[in-house]
Amino acid sequence: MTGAALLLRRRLPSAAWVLPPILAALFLMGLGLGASFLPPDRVFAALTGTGVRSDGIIVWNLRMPRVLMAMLAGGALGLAGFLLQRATRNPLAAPATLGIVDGAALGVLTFLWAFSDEANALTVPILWQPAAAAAGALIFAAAVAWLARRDLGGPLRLILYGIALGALADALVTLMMVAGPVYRAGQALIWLAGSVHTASWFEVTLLSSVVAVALVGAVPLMRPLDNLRCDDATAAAQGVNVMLTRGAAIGLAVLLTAAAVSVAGGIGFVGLVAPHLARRIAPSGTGAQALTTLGCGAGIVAAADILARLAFAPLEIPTGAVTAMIGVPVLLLLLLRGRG
Amino acid sequence: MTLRLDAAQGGYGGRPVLEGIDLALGAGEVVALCGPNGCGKSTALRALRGALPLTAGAAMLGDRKVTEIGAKALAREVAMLGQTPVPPEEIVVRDLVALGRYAHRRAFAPLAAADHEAIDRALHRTGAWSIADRPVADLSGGQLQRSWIAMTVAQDAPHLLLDEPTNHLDMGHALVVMDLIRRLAREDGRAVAVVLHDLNLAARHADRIVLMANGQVQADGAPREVLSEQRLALVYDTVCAVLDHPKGGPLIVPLGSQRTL
Repeated sequence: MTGAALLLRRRLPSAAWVLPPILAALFLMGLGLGASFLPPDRVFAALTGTGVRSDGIIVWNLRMPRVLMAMLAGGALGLAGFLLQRATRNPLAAPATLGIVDGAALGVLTFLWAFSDEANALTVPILWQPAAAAAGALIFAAAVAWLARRDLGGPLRLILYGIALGALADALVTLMMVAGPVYRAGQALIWLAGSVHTASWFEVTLLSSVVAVALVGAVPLMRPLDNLRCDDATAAAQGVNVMLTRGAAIGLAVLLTAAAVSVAGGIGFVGLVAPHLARRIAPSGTGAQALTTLGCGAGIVAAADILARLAFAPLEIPTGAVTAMIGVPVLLLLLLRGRG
Repeated sequence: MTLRLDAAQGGYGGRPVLEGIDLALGAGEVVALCGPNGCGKSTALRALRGALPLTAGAAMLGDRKVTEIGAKALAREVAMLGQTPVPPEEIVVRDLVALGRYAHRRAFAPLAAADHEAIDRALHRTGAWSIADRPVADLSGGQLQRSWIAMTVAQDAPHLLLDEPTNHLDMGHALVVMDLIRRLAREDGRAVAVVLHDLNLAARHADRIVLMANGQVQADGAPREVLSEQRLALVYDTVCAVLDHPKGGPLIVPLGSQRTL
């Protein structure tokens, strides 16, 4: 086969092209659906500023940050999972298995515990909660990295350290929930289950900046990560700086995870499912798979958020719970179909 | 430029494996590294590639230490195939071979015409052309080994290091691989070092045999000189008869071990 034919083969239709229309549809549905239903024409009118004022407020101030936050958090966690799975060559690697999400949860619990007064009111603005989550995530990531500092050549150990520290954080979280007052437990539960309904434009800006930085940082990693699909020694012989690539990919994944969970809470499972889903529908190139993973993650959480609003209306259930409810069947389906 | 070890000492985690090795690869020649298990032949190969921290001595490429050469620049000079390389899941042979072009590719650009030429050349050269579009997972042992060698050939490096490339191959496929390795040296002028357990394969296909024991070079020279009955008895603790191969060169027949369990 010649080079031209090879190019053609790479361009064979993949299922990934359905992602942009699906994401656009989810975006519009996310703006229209909820406690008060807005039909598409009113959504468009509000978007273009020609609708009634109350519609504009619902679309621009309430729902759009929420939809964007869901998409950004899902995309960030999906991309983090993709980078971790590629860097460790392990399909089990995900933000949750590296103890980062549990670390963030511990950060939130510690924050609620340390800054509540006798009357169960917070003594500092709630705005600091994301900072506490990010701090917890980064501290636990650093602890895992420190434990694994000599084991970057054996990425399985990295995952085991992550699972161990994650279990520790999880135990401490449970302890603080049980030992702490009810208000804090309730507040913590909302975070733990993952929720985007409180999303603000500030948080959207913050998260989109981090995702943008991480995307730029990920571009030069695509080719070495492609070669790292071989074992370490083979990739090194091909000229890949294995430790640098692995370290940078894990660092970016930690950054993405810390940013996503600090504002959106413990949204589970999307970091594990999105890369597996992308692997099935994307062309084989590493860059194409990374982008598809981003889209899959965004779509899963956006869809989960819409379901979370509607399934038990007027009660809203946590997005994180729905993400897992969508994600688990998807993963099982992929696994069952993958056997054939 | 010559790739060589100068009085190299080193090992794993403080345990010395190489105890002062001198070894040089000449262009156009196949050097076989032989010796008993654990004698340091694979370690010597890794040291040549700069993949082993040395406690004394150095691995040199020309007048530069290989550890001072950048990862990509070194990969353009020295290609290496380990003993048990792990291929990516779900990849076809051609894409596996393309991974060998890593050190030559321009940043943020697709495979260039030169890359495609090198890949096609490597596929033809190694007889992997007919299996280029097959998934790696479906290949037989011999086909897989040829694909790996095609990948290292596509790397277009003047030095080629192969760690037991005939492992797990039947004698027919082993001969095919050794013939290929010989042609890569003869026709392209590459310097090839190959770790081999089978002394008869080494004797037939190598220009030079480096016989190692206990992290040191015991003998270095033409197969006929190196593979003497006395030396084999000493290095392998095994009584051997060295006969004449019907097609020339020595033929080693092990008669009995002097080792006790």
